[in-house]
Amino acid sequence: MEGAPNISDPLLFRSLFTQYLGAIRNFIYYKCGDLQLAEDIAQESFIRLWQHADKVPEVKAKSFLYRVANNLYLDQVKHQKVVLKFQQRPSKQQDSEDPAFHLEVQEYQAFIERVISELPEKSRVVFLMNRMEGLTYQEISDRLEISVKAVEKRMHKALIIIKKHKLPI
Amino acid sequence: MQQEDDMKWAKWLSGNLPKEESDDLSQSEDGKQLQSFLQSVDKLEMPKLDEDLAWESFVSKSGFPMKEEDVRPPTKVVSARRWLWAVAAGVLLLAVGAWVFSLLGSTTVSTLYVEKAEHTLPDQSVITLNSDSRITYQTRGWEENRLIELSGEAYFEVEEGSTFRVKTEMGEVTVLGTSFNVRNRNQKLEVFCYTGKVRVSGAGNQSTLTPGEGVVVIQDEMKTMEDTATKPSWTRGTSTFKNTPVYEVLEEIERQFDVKIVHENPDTLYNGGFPHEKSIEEALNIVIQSIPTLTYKETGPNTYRVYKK
Repeated sequence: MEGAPNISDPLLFRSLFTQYLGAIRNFIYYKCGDLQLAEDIAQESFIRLWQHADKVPEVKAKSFLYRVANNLYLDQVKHQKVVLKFQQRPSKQQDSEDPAFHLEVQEYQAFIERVISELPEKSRVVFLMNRMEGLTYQEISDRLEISVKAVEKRMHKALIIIKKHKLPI
Repeated sequence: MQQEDDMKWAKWLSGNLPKEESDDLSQSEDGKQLQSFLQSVDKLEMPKLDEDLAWESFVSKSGFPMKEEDVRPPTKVVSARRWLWAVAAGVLLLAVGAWVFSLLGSTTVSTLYVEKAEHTLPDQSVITLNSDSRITYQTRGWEENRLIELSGEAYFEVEEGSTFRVKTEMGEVTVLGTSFNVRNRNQKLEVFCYTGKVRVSGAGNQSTLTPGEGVVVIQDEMKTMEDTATKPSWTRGTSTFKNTPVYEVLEEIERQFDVKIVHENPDTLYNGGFPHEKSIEEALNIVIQSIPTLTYKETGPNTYRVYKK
């Protein structure tokens, strides 16, 4: 790899860690909804990357990480029930003291989490990358190394399924 | 058609449907229900990630050779994918960084005083922002609608593709693939073409520029100018001026050094430039000494006064 940046340079490796740790963790989290597992897998992926640092050119680091993370995930989880837990973003409108209101918010959030967890895995990953991280279809296609068309298909499928669930008002 | 239909909701969400069709979907029962669901999803937050803790743990498990303090994160990372390094090949930029955020498919990049930043657009076109400048564009549907709103000053290297437009409060610049500089300060729009062809419209006039040509739009007038440079000098760390009122030069010094300069709007015309990497005093000396009637003094921390002798 003469001339190509070598990721065994500690500074470069550190910057890759900063750049991709969150993305890899989120990728696994969207699949399984298990935050602890997602963080462990993200870390293990970087340990494997470091072990192979002298053989992985910088441009391949990202797909190496995704591939390893995905394989680790497949080893760990066969058919686990997906339960996602998100925090409600603090909002002024939710300062209401009315306990019934709080309950409604909680119920509604539970409903949303249930619908999301019922999405097929691939659609859920695309849907959450778009909504939670604000990634465009193009950016998602770069991350997952699939075509924009494939991203659109997965997204469309997610929206069709969401649309079928009637909201509890 | 069947193919299109396969993805219509995805295209609806990313704003890639014809307006009429998109509006129809938005107004439908399904559309309203989806919007309300999406609004609620968008209020949710991802669980926090403690990168420092993760890094410590990684170092202890992987046998990574460096002590923690030797390998700091490359920069304070607000959002890794949105932070940009502005060190292009051969381009020396000083304090580097820019706030970039996206909202509803619209991206804004802005620089503070002293800062400069390089930003790559979805089509790989590159924008270099000078200090105290801001651009906004729609990420969704970018390839079809390449429109940038600019305030301040920026240098553009545009990839070939659909028409690329830069909107400023003073006028609009239209190009195909090319490189050019746009400066919009003090109710004055300056556009300079470096490669390719650029069309400028403003003040009710239109002008097509070829390499080496530029225009200034002031109020309802459009004047031409010429230059042989291959890139604007500020991208290489020097601000240069031709027949520019001194007060505008002083304002540029304020942007490049983040200082306050009190002055009485001296409008003597200035020709010359100042370097960004040297001291503020050096910059002021270069500019002020060339104008025999003016002098300056430091009146406080980062505050200067320019006045008549």
